[in-house]
Amino acid sequence: MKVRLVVRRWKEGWRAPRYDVFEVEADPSESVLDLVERVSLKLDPTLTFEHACHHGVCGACGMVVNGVERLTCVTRVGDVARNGVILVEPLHGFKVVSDLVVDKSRMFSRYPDDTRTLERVAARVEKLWDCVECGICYSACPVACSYPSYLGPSVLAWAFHRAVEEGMVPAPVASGSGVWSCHAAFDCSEKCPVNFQPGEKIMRLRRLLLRGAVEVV
Amino acid sequence: MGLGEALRSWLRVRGRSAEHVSFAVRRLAGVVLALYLVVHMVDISTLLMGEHVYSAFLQVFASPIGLVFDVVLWVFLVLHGALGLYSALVEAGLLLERRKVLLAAAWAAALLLLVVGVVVILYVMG
Amino acid sequence: MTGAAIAYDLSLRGFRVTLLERGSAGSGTSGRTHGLLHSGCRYVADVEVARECYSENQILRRIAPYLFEKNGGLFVAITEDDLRYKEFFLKKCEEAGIPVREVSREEALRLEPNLNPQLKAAVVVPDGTFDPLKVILSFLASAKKYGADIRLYNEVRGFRVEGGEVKAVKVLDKVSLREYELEADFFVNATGAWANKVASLAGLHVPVKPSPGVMVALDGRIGNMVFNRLNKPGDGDIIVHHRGTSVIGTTSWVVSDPDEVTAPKEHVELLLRRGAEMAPIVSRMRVKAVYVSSRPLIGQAAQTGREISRSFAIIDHSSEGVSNFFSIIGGKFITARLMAEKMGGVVCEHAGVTAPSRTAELPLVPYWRFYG
Repeated sequence: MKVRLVVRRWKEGWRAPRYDVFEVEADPSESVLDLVERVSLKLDPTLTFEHACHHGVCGACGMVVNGVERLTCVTRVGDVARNGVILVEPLHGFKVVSDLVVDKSRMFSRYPDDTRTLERVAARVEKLWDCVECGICYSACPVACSYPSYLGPSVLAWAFHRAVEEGMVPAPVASGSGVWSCHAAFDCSEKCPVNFQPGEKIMRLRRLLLRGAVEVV
Repeated sequence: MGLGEALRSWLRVRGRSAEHVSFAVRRLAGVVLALYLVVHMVDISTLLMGEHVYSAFLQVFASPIGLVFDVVLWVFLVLHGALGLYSALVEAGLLLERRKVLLAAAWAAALLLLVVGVVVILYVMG
Repeated sequence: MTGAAIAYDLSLRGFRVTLLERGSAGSGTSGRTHGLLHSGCRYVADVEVARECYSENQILRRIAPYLFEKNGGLFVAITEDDLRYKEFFLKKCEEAGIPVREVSREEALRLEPNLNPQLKAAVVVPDGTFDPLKVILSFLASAKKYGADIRLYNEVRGFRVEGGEVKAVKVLDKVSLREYELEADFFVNATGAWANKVASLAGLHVPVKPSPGVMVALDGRIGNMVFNRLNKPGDGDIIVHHRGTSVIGTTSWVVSDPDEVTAPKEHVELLLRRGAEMAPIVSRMRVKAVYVSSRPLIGQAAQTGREISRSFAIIDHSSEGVSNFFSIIGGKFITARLMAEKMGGVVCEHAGVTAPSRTAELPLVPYWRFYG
């Protein structure tokens, strides 16, 4: 099928973004990421975007596709094209570095040094959290997009699991820039590509805090 | 982060879920109600200027324009209240598993109260 | 991944390192690995390669345990042909020093209920799985900690070669659209499947054969231990699980340009078929993603590219008249640390410096520190 891929471009020093249009041939079962990659290889090598695993586990390729946050490697062209048009923009809530690349340090820099990356699923089974750390929840969250100090949905969701396992949370989590800044918009849970339910976990963590079941350190 | 960016993130509805739209409506209604409260304080204080000023104001509110204003105010009150009840429950961590049903119920209740209220305002008080 | 590991190894030894990557971290072959922390058992036919894998497996578990799902793996015999491979397999694992344990059919099914109930034999091996991007970022974060300058979105456009030496590399910074030159004493080309494409910019040659392979990711996770087919390495003989997904891999063919690859539909069908042989539930699952990754195989390619050895090679280009340019190809994701150690040794030799590699000793900096 013929696809008109419209990409928001921005480079260091530009006063305003520019929207480039690329006419490409695509198979409806291809991923949006495949298209972006093809454009960068064949049509414009200066197009910058983040990607790694290409199968939905690393969280690198989150973008806003026709207005909706998605992991582009598992988003089919046929499912999202509107009259053959696909508009691709960088995630909201993060500073744009270049084109579709954003600076996710506001999220990663808030990880405690002793962050637990693995959950114990059964006696002899451990698993990396389903959360792929893509930042889509930040892009969807009206608070994260307007309040730079807000810890953010995924960081708080991880803190909930920590609270359940160890009975404690770091002070910033229980502060104004932590769980108490969430205003129940739940767009984070709606947009999360792995159903990690950050919104619900923030609220559950609040209940634990209100009940005094968690120590704030 | 500019004010424009902040407002856009709250009010951007394209691509947003029903949950977010409800949040935006609730917030907007809250702001409008807060503003109304301020205006209301001002118009009540006209009492201090004497009975005839206050009566003049009451005349405005009894007029058709006043009724429209009442209806609009009722809409915002109902939306903020019903959606506020929804958020009060989920923000306390209750009924999270059924939040979609709860949200639908909040909207249904809001619509019902809206209709009842408009009827009351237009036919009883009008 | 190799580049990230080399940057780490050399920075630790005291070199001033700048890493240039044309895309984002892991945007090449490494990001697309199916994420198997090899026990080495898959390559037991070559005992040296297997031993090397297992040794690196142990090192990685020690220096960054938080990066790996350490649930082990199962080699499963489905057909009579598979069963006949078992004796050879067990003997070679023992020779390579890899601790494996044969289990009964019942126990295998108890451990992994989604396995084909007709399985004829099963062996437990010390496999693991990981999220490739986070491992790469951990190495980059570690390199950064020791002073490396990591420049993503900086593409190599050419080299300035004078008097038998590469004087500088010509770079395009895609963030600012600025072109610049960077001078250095030594240049290491760790671009894997693109190694020849990059080396030719300096008029040099690298005998790498880009070998793409297809992988199919399923919409759901069907096991915890890695499912391996008990037989010689072949197409669709592995199912790797990490986070909420299972990936069936892989196929193999050879191309001349790693930037011009698409996944043939027959490969996808083959992988689903072979996957279902090991775990029938595969045929009832939705495919979440299909992707291609080009491995950097060494030397002249055979038809399918599978018979070529997968251990690595370091090329010193002084044989082509350039004394300070090195390329490294081959290897697997999880032997990158070892490849970096060897490359680090080569650079030290040429620089007349004695500094031991310490990457096996020190804990890796966690990936989130890459972002500050």
